[in-house]
Amino acid sequence: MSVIFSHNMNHQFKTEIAEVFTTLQDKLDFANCLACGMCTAACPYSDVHDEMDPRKFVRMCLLGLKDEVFNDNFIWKCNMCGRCTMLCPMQVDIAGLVRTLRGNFGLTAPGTLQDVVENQVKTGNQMEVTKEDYLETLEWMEEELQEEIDDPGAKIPVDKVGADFLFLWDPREIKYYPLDVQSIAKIMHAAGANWTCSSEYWDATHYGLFNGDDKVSKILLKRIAEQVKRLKVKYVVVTECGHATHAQRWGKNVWLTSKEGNYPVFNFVQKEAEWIKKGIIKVDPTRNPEPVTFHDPCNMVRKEGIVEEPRYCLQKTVIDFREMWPNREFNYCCGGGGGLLAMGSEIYPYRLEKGSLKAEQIKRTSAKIVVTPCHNCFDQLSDIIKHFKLDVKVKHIHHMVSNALVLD
Amino acid sequence: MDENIEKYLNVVPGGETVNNYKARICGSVAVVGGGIAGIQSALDLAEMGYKVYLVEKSPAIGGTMPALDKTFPTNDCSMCILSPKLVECGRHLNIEILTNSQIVELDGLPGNFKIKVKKEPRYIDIDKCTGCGECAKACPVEITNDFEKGLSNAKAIFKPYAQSFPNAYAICKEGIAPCKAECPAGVNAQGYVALTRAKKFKEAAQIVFEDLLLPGTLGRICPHPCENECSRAQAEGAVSIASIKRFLADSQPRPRLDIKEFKDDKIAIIGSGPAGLTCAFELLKKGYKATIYEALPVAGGMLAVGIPDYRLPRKILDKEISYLTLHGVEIKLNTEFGKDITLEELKKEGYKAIFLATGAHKNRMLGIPGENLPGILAGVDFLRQVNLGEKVDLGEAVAVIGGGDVAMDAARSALRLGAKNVTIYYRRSREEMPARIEEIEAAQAEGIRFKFLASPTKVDKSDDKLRMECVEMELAEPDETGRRKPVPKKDSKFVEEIDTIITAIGQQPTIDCLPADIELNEYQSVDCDATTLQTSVPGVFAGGEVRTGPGIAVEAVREGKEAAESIVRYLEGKDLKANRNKKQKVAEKPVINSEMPDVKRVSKKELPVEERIKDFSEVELGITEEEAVREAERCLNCGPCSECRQCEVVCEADCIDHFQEEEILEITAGAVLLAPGFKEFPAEKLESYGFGKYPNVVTSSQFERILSASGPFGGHLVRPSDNKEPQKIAWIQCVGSRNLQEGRDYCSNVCCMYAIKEAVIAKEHSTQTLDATIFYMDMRCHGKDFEKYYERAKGQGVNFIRSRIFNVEEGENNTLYIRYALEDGSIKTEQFDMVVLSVGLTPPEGAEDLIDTLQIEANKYGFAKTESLVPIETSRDGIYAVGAFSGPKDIPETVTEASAAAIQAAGLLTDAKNTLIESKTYPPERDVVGQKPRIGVFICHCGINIGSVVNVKEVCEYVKTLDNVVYVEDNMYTCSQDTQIRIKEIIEEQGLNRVVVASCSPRTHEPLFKETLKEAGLNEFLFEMANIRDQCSWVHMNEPKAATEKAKDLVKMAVAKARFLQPIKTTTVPMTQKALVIGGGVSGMTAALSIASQGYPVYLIEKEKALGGMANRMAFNHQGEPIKKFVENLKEEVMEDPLIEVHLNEEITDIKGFIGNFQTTLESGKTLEHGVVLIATGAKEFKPQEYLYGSNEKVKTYLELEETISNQPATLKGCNNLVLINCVGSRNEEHPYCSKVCCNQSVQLALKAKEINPGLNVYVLYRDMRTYGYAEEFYLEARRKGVIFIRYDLHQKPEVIQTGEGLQVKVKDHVLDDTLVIKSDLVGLAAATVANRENEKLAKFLKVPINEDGFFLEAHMKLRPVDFSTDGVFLCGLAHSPKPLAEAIVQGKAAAARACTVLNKEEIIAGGLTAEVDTSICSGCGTCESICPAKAIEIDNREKVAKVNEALCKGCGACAASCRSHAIDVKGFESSQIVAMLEEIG
Repeated sequence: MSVIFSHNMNHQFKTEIAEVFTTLQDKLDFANCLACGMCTAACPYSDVHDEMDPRKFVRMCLLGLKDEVFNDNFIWKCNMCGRCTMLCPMQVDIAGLVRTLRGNFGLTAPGTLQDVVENQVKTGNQMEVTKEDYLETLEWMEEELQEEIDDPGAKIPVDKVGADFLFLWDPREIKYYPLDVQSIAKIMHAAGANWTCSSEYWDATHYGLFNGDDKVSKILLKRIAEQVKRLKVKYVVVTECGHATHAQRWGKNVWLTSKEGNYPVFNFVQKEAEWIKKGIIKVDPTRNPEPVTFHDPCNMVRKEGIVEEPRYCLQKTVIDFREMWPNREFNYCCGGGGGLLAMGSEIYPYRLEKGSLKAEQIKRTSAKIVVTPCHNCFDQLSDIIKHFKLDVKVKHIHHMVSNALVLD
Repeated sequence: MDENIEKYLNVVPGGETVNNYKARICGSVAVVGGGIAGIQSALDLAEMGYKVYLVEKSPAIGGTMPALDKTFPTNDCSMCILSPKLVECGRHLNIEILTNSQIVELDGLPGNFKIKVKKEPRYIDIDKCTGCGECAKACPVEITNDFEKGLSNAKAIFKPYAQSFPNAYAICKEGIAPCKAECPAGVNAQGYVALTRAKKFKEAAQIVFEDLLLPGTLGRICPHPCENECSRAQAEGAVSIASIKRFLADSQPRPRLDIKEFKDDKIAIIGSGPAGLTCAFELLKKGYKATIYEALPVAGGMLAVGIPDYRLPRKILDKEISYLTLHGVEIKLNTEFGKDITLEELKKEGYKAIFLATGAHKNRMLGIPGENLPGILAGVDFLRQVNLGEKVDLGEAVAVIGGGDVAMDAARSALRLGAKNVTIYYRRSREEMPARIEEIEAAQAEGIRFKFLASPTKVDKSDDKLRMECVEMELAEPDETGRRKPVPKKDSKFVEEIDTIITAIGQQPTIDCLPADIELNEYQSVDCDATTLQTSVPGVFAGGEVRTGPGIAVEAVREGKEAAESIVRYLEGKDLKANRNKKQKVAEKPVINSEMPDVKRVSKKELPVEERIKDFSEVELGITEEEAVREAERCLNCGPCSECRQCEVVCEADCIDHFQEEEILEITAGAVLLAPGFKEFPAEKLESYGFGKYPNVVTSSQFERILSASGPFGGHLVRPSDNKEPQKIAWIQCVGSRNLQEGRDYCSNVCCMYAIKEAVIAKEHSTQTLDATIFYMDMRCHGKDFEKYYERAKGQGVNFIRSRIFNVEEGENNTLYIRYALEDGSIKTEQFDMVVLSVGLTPPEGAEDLIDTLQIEANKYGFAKTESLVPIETSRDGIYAVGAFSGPKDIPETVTEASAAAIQAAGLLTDAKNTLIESKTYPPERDVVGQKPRIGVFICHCGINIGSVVNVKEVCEYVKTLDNVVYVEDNMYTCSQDTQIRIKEIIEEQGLNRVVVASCSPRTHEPLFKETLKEAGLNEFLFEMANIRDQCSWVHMNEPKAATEKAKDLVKMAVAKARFLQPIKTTTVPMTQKALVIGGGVSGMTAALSIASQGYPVYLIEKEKALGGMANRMAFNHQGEPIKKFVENLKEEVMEDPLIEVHLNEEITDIKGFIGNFQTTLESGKTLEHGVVLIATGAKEFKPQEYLYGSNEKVKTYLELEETISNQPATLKGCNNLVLINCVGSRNEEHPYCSKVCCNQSVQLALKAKEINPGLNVYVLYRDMRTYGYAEEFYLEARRKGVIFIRYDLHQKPEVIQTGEGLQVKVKDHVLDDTLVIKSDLVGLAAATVANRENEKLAKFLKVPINEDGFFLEAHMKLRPVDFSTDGVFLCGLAHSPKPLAEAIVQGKAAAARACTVLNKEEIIAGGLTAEVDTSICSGCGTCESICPAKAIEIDNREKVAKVNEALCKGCGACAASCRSHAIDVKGFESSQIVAMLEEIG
């Protein structure tokens, strides 16, 4: 317990925050707070780490304790998962508040997060993949696919003007997991999708969402909007990546004008579900006989409401699907959200402490595979599995789908 | 007065003259909603002299209260305190109760509204219904019991609750069931299914027999359109209605028709198919014996010759047809119409009406070459031959052309006749096949082959074989019938060699036999009027397939029924068309939920394939009784009433009318009061709490029912999942309140208190120690005595945890888990057996329509909009909103508003007062003096309140043995309306002259029973009551045997006293129709004006120099509105009102007298005479002793701060920090109550201060923010504007310190746990509101009580909030308890209304149970005079004896006890009577 003097309380702080708050709600809504504690109870990590008390954090902001706020661990250690305030009766958005504070008051993101953002702005993708490497990878995977399915017609179209949709990749897929490219392309081929990739800006990820830099965010979003315009596609499909989906969907509403952002954005899982449902692709669940559980990425489930589609895909492509508990919008963050995964090795032990909850959840299902349509969650889950020595593999939805695909 | 009217003159565009206005106003008021608000308004208005229409939507008045268990803060039983009011309202001469009713139209002007009221059918005549409940016992349909909040089921014929008024049942009908609606013949499927479920097979069969001549036939062959529409079809499959019908028809004997008298008119029916037979049957039921002419050698038409025996055995059909002949209907076989008998001949023979039902027996032709070759048979001809037993040689290979039922029948028959290969050729695909799926599947199972998309084009014959040339077809786009049209495929010709071809591509009406003057239509069927079925020839009707073309049998049945109806009308000379084909409302299909158990449709037993193709034995074997019942149990009761009409059978009172229709009543009312109540927030919307998903998560209203003795668990505290007693219960507050996400940002006002009450009562109900925890944000106990209740609950171990709950999770055994955060940030997870959701209040069902119909404004939440300075008034003149309809409220506030609204409405109609009312007359009193006592005893079970402990039957038997007792009976509820009627009848029948009721407390129920005696012509004092509930069953609930013995003793004593009861005469005392209002604050002034508006003079006494009271110091109200002008206007109005005599600067030195006759002496020596007294003496601001108040001028009370803000706003300009501290002198040991106004005042002060100086930092230090109701919005606004709210505890109060740099306030921040040190320029203190010391003096004058806090204590906190137990004395405003201005205004009006109910009487009744002096013994010693607390005895100095003022005497008996000469007795409690009671128990 310490003493706070009224002259140290900056009553303007609230207004300063509101002025720069990027939101679709009323910018001042965080001041509605009643300090009721629902958020603290809702935060899965409030009893894992002492500083994870969203109520206290909001209180400090509202009391105008500026220095204390900027020195608070909460700012960079919160996963911005939004579970705390999804049911907030006063419509306080703590994830939004955290983002606003991260990016608008001269803070520098810790660890490697800042570098990732800068790289992305500079090189067009967060992993500095060159255009040559990128195109080569796509070509290589196209050939692999043609060989796999013995069909020279299988293509990974690049810069196909007038395609139905533009597909955005996660650079990890290009750089580290090229087989993911093949898996996705295989599904596209089976579905007869009229799709394209861009040769220019193709990175769906968006680390401006995590460091809170709205200027960066705007640049990144504009790049995508330009590709949509250039390639004359009807809509955008984002690869299985949670934060990227949120950034592309919500982001175009806050960072672009309504004219600029006048295109729908879907996650690839939505397309997969749609194709299975309509019988456009045929799947055989017996190809995936192991017990499977599913981890809901916060950015997809809570922020974008993509809840049933991944489940539908799994119900159709695996034999034994088990929910973890809690699930859907009540699911716990993996512990790597909010950019923590990009903050480097220092934060590793911390996020694995968070990961203990997820480890428990997974263990209780006795599943052998944990599926998640998010690269961030994928890495955190991999770390969790390693650290807690779980006998489980991590997969994306498309892995299960492409494995179950029945090609005519 | 006239000023008052002037307000209303402007309602008419261009104004109106006073005379016109007076001429049009009408002395009646419509009150919408029969809850406690509506009841109170109605009673007040009726007593004030106005006729009332009480319009209630549901079948019973009572509203929410009957479903509550206990009420806070007194823990009274809700039903018990309401019940007398229900009865009083129900029996009031000038209140007309319209149940099942709602206003649908309103026209006219204030003072004279023309109102249309829609009265929905109840299907019960309430005047005849005795509420006996036999009907419900007989009813086979269970529905969700809404009164029990879905925790149990009720019957489709129901009475909401035991004490309902009117005490009558009602039937729940949403429309006819979809199955019945879909049946062409209108057979009541739901009815017989419901009765089958109840195993009332005979009754079920009776419904079938009533509706159908051929149930066994139809049960077999009907394609049952009913099942297609069955609601259960949405789930696992339709109820197998046809099988149930068949089961009933096969298993139940059919009783003969009871036909009283046969008519002579001759009717001919041509054709004995289903249409003809049904027509004959319907005519027979009406007493007409028709004659049926049939061309074939058998009766039954297509049923006999078109359907093979394996589907419909001939003996079934024959038996059903024989039912007609059994009753004398003649069937002439082998008589072909047009040949053997003609229309002309029939007419000549005296047939007055003829029904043509010749069917459709003509085969449709293929239209291909070779069609007439031998070996090619027409389907219907083939079937007829088979059915008539003719031999048909088919050969081995048979082709059947067609895809309908006839094709299937022909193919399957061919198989049974020995054909080896039977193939069906159909030109479309299987999907388009018109035959029933069962038929197709059966045919396939039996080995019949199908060739789809094949069509014959030509037939040749060679070598005894037929060569059928076919083409393959393909389907093109759908044609106009919606089916895809088959077109031949190119070069797809193929040839089949066949022995016999049977063509079955359709039939045509049999019209060749008809006379030429019967007109035909373009389809070559008889052209009739679609409704009457009359042909072009009058008196000749046609129906069935000859009119409709080929169809299903049950359609022909409909035709037969309609024809019979027409024929009877025709013969009786009635209009053929009137009132036919009325569209009946079809009930909506129930929503299938996931909880519904999955019960598969019964699988019908069939003969094995190898067995069945051997011969024509019946294939389907029917279902067993057990299967029929199980199948019937799958019915979802769509009606929900099944119209089985078993209720009618058992109803002795003959009160049921299933054909009752909606009525539109027109009433005229001068004003409209809206009190439709509220609806609880739908808890299932907050999914995270699991309501509707987890069985042990219940709403607060469900919990009330769980606690209630009359509830679904008989008052045993159990959890729904396993009926076991819970050991830990959690309450979650603010469910649907204080929630922006749900658009419900207001506080629902009542939930904190009801949750505390539920926790306290639950602990009492628990057999073990119950752990009760309430999760809350702010405990809002702002009402009178609420804070004490809260403190008491803490003392009783209820846990209060300040935390809003995120979600509830369910674990094993339906146990619930809650993870919550404490204020310090620590997290706990706790396990509970049950969770109660404290659901908030929302606008009532139908509020939108009501608001729309009456064209009043709603607020943003959908409640009626009212303004705080003119509460109760809606946006439309003459229409007032009462109770929760304008926002969440508790019962006392609602009741207060009800009275206030009554006088508000009355104020509009003063000139028509007493013009539409009737007064009650009683039958002349029977003289019983000198008669031997004949005592009747009525013993009450009080549901289970008495009955579960005391053996009531045993007490009855015992009481029968007592002397002078001539009649004894026990009642479930002796207080119910039907029992009152019964008591009157028994008094009459048995010649009773004394009545004893053994039930509950005379305090609540004696007036009711006395009234009953009066109505029966007995003096009301010939009544005695034994309290075997409160004083017996309740206090000895664990000793049933001893309690039964005690009950016997109590009744024995009552009987002993009753033997000595004598009639007591009452007298009347004139009423001085003037009022005295003490206190000239806002509530006093409001009350004075309201009373004056009713035309009664008022004396208004104010001790200060000026009117205004506390309001003189206030700048704004709780809504932040300035009030100065309002107060000034009020003062002016009072001063100018000619009926109000204001006495300023005046104190009262004495008040003498009693209701109707008070004399008040003023300090100035003046004496005033008046009939009633209103206490409106207000309260005062507490002078704080802490926080440097008084020693530092920067520390001010809120009122002082308010004065500063309004008078010297500049003071705030230079300030940086303002600290407001709540609860200064409230909610502590000294004043253990909440001052109610301060939280809101702090918010408004903060907002005003911010408005003046936006840079000012305002801190509000509070204990619980009690911004109840809509004030929550201002609390939110303040937070948004940057006001910092910091919570403190009583044990860690803030500190205010004077430092060298000025004032400093230290307080611990409740969230951060850090100490905040605020350098303050100004500090405001929420000084408590405390009672005036002078109250004690007034209390003595008027003999009214004050509570321990010095405020006046009303007669009853819930239901008599502005009355005193002392008649003729009322209270309002702060003298009652601290409250904001708006509530004081309402209370002022309410007190005025209550006063006017008294002032409207010309005389009051005195006497009764008063003291009586035997002057022959009295020595005039004066002891009694000195001891009488009511000041009712004086010594007559001349005669030297004591004299009793009967109007003052309360009958307390102090005088009698003190009289040394035994000269005084209290009537009704005479020594002889008491001694007799004591002697009984020796």
